[in-house]
Amino acid sequence: MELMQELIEEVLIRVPPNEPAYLVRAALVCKSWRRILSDHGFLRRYRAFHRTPPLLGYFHNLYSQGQGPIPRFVQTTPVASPFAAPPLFGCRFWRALDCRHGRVLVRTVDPDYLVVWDPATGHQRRLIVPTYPRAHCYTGAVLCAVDDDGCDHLGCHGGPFLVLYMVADADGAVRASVYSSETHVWGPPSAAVHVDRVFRGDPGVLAGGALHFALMGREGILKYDLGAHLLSVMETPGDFTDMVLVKAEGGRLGFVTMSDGFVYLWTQQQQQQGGACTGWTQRESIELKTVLPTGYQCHTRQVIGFAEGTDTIFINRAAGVFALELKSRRARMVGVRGAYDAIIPYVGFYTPGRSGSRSCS
Amino acid sequence: MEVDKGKGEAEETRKVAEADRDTVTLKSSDGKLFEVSKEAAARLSTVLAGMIAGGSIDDNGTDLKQIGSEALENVVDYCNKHANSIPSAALISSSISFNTAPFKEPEEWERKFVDRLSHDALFDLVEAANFLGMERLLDVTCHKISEMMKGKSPDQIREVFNIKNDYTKEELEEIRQELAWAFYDD
Repeated sequence: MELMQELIEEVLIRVPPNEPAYLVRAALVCKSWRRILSDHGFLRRYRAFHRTPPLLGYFHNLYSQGQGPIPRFVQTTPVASPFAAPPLFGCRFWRALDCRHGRVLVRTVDPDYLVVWDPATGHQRRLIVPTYPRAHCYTGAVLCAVDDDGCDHLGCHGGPFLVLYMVADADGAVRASVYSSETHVWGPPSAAVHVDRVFRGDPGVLAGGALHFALMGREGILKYDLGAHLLSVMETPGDFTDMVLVKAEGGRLGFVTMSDGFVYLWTQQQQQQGGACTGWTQRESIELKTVLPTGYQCHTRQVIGFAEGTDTIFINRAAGVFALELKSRRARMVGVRGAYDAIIPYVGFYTPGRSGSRSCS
Repeated sequence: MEVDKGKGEAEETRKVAEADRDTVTLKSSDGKLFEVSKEAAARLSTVLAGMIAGGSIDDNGTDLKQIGSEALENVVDYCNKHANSIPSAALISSSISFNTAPFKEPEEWERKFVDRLSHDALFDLVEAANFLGMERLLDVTCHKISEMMKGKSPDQIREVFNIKNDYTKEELEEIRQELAWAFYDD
């Protein structure tokens, strides 16, 4: 027997989002199924039904390891990778800087561009890299142009976006510029803030209307306030060389460190008016041997990433890369160990509809 | 006034007692009769709840012309099992986890309940649940059917759903290229 169309929808809506291949195969069943799966109303319902977008994988910036080249995208879904291989971006070398709200920010070298890439549609937008005198190192971020009050960021990857690009010069003066996809221009550079040590390769963490980047050494965290177009440096409560920024409970900024076989979660305390941080609290500790299989300590960095929206951190161990969900304390191996300086997780609903025109309302 | 009020209350109680048989009788399209817990029917089915509240329940068997006896038997079985399983600690704890879980996972007994059904019985039950406005049963049965798609090729899915392929070869090839990443040999 055949099910009525409305019941087919009820069935398709329950296909789990952590296996995007299932929905794609469903789209190939017949035309009416493809129509359902491409329908904006259905996709909205699908995202609302599942609420939490799944972790589909991560990008990293190692071109080769040991014997030869390694894939730049590592799938964390058991069945099929949503990206057979990232595109080559027509350059000699590229580096993934950030991934948020369904978009990936890539810096290409030779030729030099910033590329905003939507893996769900394959769409790429090339931006001219803002020039700064005596640029020494850079990082960046991409995000939906609509703030959290106006967009749930579950299906906005075809809509307007912002790109933050930050450059430190050889004297440690950092400046930031923001590009808007709506005006097609880079805004003026911010006032400079001075740092002794440069940023890590980690993507920034968006919390409380600001992007935060971990600095090397003990100096702390570089904060870019989106509303005020203002850079500042925040201090951390100690010298944490192995630190990854996270978005903790209640949307507050936090960070995770690892020492002596324990993972520690610190979060920012109540903010004063004006957004100044009054301090940090150590919230939680997880003993690694209770959640991970025993393995040798690695010599490279151990906590290497955090996936916004999923409360998952990534730990580099001798046995491989583990994804550890902080809330459930469930860990699973998702990739091979590598000398990663950072990884850039891809979190999002990946549905087979023609999604080019989706946008924030 | 107080006496009147007491009398009124007593009458009300008697009325309720008359109307309040514990069960209602439902009649399938092929004329078979089934008894179901009134409380469970009203709680689990918006349509039956409406009929019970509106007094359109027929003691000799309320006609449900759209539902065959096998599907109705399963509906009744589900309602009665549900009546027995509430309030279970499992359900209470799972309703709390709904806040964090992305999915309303079926209970163990609900899983077993749908697992034992044949393919046709399951599809009939989905339609019956939909007709009767039984959200939870619809959830559980649709969840089961979506699980049946796991790991299947488009061809195998068509077989499960009895669907004809209306794509031309060229159209399929075009979509395959567009969504090339999802294909692998297994």
